[in-house]
Amino acid sequence: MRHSFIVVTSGAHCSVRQLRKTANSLLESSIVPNHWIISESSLDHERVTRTRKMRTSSIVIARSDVVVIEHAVVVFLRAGDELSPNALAIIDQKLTEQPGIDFIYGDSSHGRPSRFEEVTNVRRPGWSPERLRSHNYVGDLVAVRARVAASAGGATFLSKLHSHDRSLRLSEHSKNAVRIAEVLCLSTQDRIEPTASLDAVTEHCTRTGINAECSIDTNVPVVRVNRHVSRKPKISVIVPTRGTVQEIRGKNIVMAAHAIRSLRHTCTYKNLEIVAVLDKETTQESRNEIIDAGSNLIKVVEYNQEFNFAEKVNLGVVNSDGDYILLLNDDTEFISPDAIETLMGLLEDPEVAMAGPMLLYEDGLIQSAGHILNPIPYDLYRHRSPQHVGAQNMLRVQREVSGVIAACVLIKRSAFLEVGGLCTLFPSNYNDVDFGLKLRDAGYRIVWTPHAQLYHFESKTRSPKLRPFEVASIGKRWRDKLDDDPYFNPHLERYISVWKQNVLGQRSLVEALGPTAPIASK
Amino acid sequence: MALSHDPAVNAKLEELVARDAEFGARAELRVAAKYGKDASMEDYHFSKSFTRESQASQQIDWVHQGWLRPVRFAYRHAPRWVRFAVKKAAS
Repeated sequence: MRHSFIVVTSGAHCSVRQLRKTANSLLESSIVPNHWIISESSLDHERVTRTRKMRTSSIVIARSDVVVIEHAVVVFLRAGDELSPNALAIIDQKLTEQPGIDFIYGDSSHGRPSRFEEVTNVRRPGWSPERLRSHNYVGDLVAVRARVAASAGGATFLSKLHSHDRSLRLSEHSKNAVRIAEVLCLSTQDRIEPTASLDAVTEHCTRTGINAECSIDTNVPVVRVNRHVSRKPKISVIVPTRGTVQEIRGKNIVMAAHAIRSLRHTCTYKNLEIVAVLDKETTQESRNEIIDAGSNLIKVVEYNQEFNFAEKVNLGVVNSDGDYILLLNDDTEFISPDAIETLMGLLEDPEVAMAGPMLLYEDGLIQSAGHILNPIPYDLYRHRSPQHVGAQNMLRVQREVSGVIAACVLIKRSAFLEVGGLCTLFPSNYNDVDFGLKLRDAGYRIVWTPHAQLYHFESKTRSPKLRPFEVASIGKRWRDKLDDDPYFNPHLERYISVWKQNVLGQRSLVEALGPTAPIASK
Repeated sequence: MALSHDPAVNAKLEELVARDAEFGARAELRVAAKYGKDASMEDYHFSKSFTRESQASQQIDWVHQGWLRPVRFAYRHAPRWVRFAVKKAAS
């Protein structure tokens, strides 16, 4: 059964030319919409209907609310934007295949193609509610079931709102939102209004009961939602270590003791229990220094097996009793004093089980901004400058990811136990990737935040070599998930750690030369 | 081999392993149904020396190779229409 489509456009502050452009795109659509509601219309809008094409089409132009059919789909389209010819057909097909979907958004094109330039396509990630609180990453074109639009205040009312406000209101009433990885509309306009977004997000937080302070980022037009932590439960900090002494900033130090000192002296969160899981190789001097650094908070657990990071973490967790678990590598150092509060704030959402911070190398470059499965697991924007805002400001917003590096993550204990902790089949690499995928499989979300930062002197204390059996194991378990990361976009270039579209004239080396390219053989 | 002298701790660890195995088995079944039982990761571009710490820098190394310098020089100093023609032809 084909769905009925109702396109809603706000007629306020737009010219007849813009409306005509939109009208022409509706006429060229492979599925012609049944109604086109132009809200806040003026007499000028009569001129849109006077065109011969429009008069002879089956589209009914309404100046106010029409009686919305129950099974109809409401598509919000900005005046001046053009609907892709097959956009409604794609939406119709998606809704027929998956009847549970009630909120759809997709990619969009920006700019006009010319002799020398292609259009810029904005490729969007999958449904990411935390990210939507920072900016309207879903774009201006949103299609929802009529009942969602009705319960969010009605199509006409919603069309008058700022697009970010509209998306937030619609998301509050939808149960299943999906992204379609195809270009659904062409826009030649840019509308970045951070103050409108700030108002929209503040109201959204009030409506949904999120206790947070909202502010505009100082560098980019996005909103920062700083959640207030309602309570301060005990956090068990698990530090697996072998007491390695390494040179950091010209000084030889016991890495674990340094990490624990930085936790105790930099962080403002004080309800902590520190569990140090020590290898048998740990020297007495290192042991003494770690115990000294942890003082009365530390609990030492002995580990007498061959090195297995996952097993050490699990052993530490079962020897602790905090409601939350902070996995902390011994080669880390806290930068943000409120890092734990920021991570804890994200876990206030019952669907979020794990939150991870921005990790930086010793030289200040990005070490990890969350995982991306592309299709092998990468740390996003690794080795890039922290001044980089990322594609679509992704390095400046809190967002859902497929996983975060286990060097520093805050996890709900209940979720950790539910999925069986870290998998001991991955002794050193990919245990964090596997853990993230298990959490997602259990229905939880994982959030990364740029507002909590740590140094991670990665692999200062162990070999970073990836072993073939680890690759085989991760593939055996999760190959389907590796191929289909919801927070990635199939039109982006694969095998790189940045969000880059595979555009005309800039084909990836892998695509151009095949798997024998230097990057693969190096 | 038991990880701890405390039987309660060992019991909790065993429980974790069992839960993990449940998730693993379910995931493996799903992968086997989609890709077949003998599916491997060989068509993925993993390298034996593919370390995580150098994963990003490796990807862009090819543009700095010596033999590309004169090619790049010629391309950048070519007239605009040549550059766009090359770009179009390459894609």
